[in-house]
Parts: sequence; C-alpha cells; structure tokens
Amino acid sequence: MTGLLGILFTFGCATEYKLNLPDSFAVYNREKKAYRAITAGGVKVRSFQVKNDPKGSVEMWFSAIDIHLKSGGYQEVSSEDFTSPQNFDGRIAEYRYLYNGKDYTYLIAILIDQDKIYVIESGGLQKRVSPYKKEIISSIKDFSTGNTH
Amino acid sequence: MMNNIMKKVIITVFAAIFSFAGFCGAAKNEMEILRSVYHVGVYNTVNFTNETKVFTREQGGYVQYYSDDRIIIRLPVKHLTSFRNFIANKAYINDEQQVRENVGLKIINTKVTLQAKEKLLKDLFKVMGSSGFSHTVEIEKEISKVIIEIEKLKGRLRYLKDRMKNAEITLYLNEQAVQKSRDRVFSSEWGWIRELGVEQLINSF
Repeated sequence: MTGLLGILFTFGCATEYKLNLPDSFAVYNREKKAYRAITAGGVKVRSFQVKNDPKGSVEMWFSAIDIHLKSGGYQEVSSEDFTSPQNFDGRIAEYRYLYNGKDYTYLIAILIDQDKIYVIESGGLQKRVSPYKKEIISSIKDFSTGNTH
Repeated sequence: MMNNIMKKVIITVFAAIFSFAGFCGAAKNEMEILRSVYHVGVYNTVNFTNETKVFTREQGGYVQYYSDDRIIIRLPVKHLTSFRNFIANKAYINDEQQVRENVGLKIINTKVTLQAKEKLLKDLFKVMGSSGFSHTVEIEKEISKVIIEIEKLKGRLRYLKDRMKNAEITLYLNEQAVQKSRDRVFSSEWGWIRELGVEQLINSF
C-alpha cells in the first residue's frame, strides 16, 4: 500500500482525498474535477464530491442511487453502513451488472460530511475486480479528506 | 357370475359413499397440486439455465425439461418461496401465474376404486379355483383386465402423490425482455446520480 492520494480542487481550495489503494493502481495526477485511478486490468476507481442539497441522510441518498441502479438492471450483492475515521456516515454497496455480455462488479459508496457528499465508485470485469475487492472496500472505509488553501 | 355382479354393485355403492367422505377429508388436508408459470427476462439464457439447474438440485428438485426458451422444474413445495427469491435475484420477472388444483377427490376416488378392484381380483381368483374348465378362459381374461386396471390406478396414485409433493414450475425465458427493462431506466432527479454506473465509469477514463 503506497497510500495514493487524490487531489480535488473546488471553490478555490483543494480537497485532498486520502484513499489508500494498492500499488497496482495508477492515479491520474492531472485530474482536477475528480479522483481517478486505474489498474492494468482496467479496474477503475473514481471519486468526486457534490453538495448535500437538499440536505439528506445517507439512507435517503443511497436509496436514490439504489433505485437508479436497479432500474438500470443492476443486481445488489451486498451493502454495509460504516463510519469513516473522520466520523462521516457512509454506506458501501456491491452490485452485479451485465455489460456487453460480461459480468461486471460495481462498488459504490457515499460518505456525508454535513454539506458535502463524497461519492466513490469502482468497477470492472468481475474477474479483474475480485483480487482487489477487499482492498478497495477497506480503502473506502478509511477514506478521509483534508482541505488546503 | 350373478354373485360377482352383485358384489360389483355393492362395492360401487360403497365407493360412492367413501368418495364423498373422502372429499370432505381432502378439503381439510388441502390435497393440492401447485403449478407456477413465470415469464422472465434473463441476461444470458445459458447461464441462467445452468444456475437454475444447480439451485433446483440443491433444493431437492429436478429439471424435467429445458430448451433455449423454456425450463420445466419439479421442486418440493416447501422450497417454492426460496425459488421465487432466486428467480427475482437472477432475472426480471415480467409475469407470473400460480394455479392451485385440489386433487383430494381424485385421490380418494382412485384409492377406493383401487381397493374395489383388488377385492374383485381376489374374488375372481377364488371363482377360478372352483370353476369348471369351460369358465376358466373367460375368468382369466377378466383377471388380466382387472390387473391392468389395478396397475393403472396405482400409477395414477403415484403420479398424484408426486404432483402434490413437488410443484411444477415453468419458466419462459426471454433475453430481449432484459434489454426492454433496461431501456426503461428510471431517470433520477439528480444529475450526479444519473452519471453513476459501470458505463459512465468506463467512459469517464
């Protein structure tokens, strides 16, 4: 684990994303709007933030995501609530999805910090994601941020 | 021979009485045959069929028939709910029908008729033992006929009991139905949620 960091610039200040992904992930450093990382096998991780507007709970926002995904043919495999080291309420879920005739794994997590919602998603071919799944989930649960001016 | 005819008449009358009593009892015991028909949209017919075969075997059932677009399964009634959950998890259920048929009367009728035929067979053997040569051929013909009828009734009983124990589930598979379901994607109120998903994730890199 190298502790790869993602940097997201918003409203004149930078939000530092701390997502400890395995060494197999390469991070797009020039990215300004979102944190993105990828493995050689095409497993992708993307993170971004949105305003918590209207102000809703993890339950509310995750239900909205779940309805959207399931209406698109996603099948929920599991879901879990967690609290991040910075005490953000979060939920992570795994979905199965058939894309171009192949099984894909899709992981989606949200964490709520009062006015902000941090969204982290990861996906790829099921067989490619499997070796990294535990580490991705673990890094999402340990997700933290720090603001720099 | 007249005696035999009289016996047949008496047995038939008793059979009718027992049938009615049996019918009342059957209603209490809920002697039912369950048939379920599902029209499902699947991602991949071959994968779904294989998964269904494995699940059915694990639940103590068996696949009676399968083709590219249809699977017929026999499954213990007690596992029907878990099977429905399995389908709901693996496919889109576009339509489903449940049919319950009370077979209590059929079973009782078959049992009573079987008893009557077995009694008749015994009597025929007795008559054959005491009859002269001229009647033997005729009685043998009658015995053969009754034995065939008894075997048919036993077979029918076994069939009905098996149908009561195992529900029949017919699945009509349609791969295109999944595509149609996908085309009806619910449009979320929030733009950032509409941007979530495998396709969007892949295209954003």
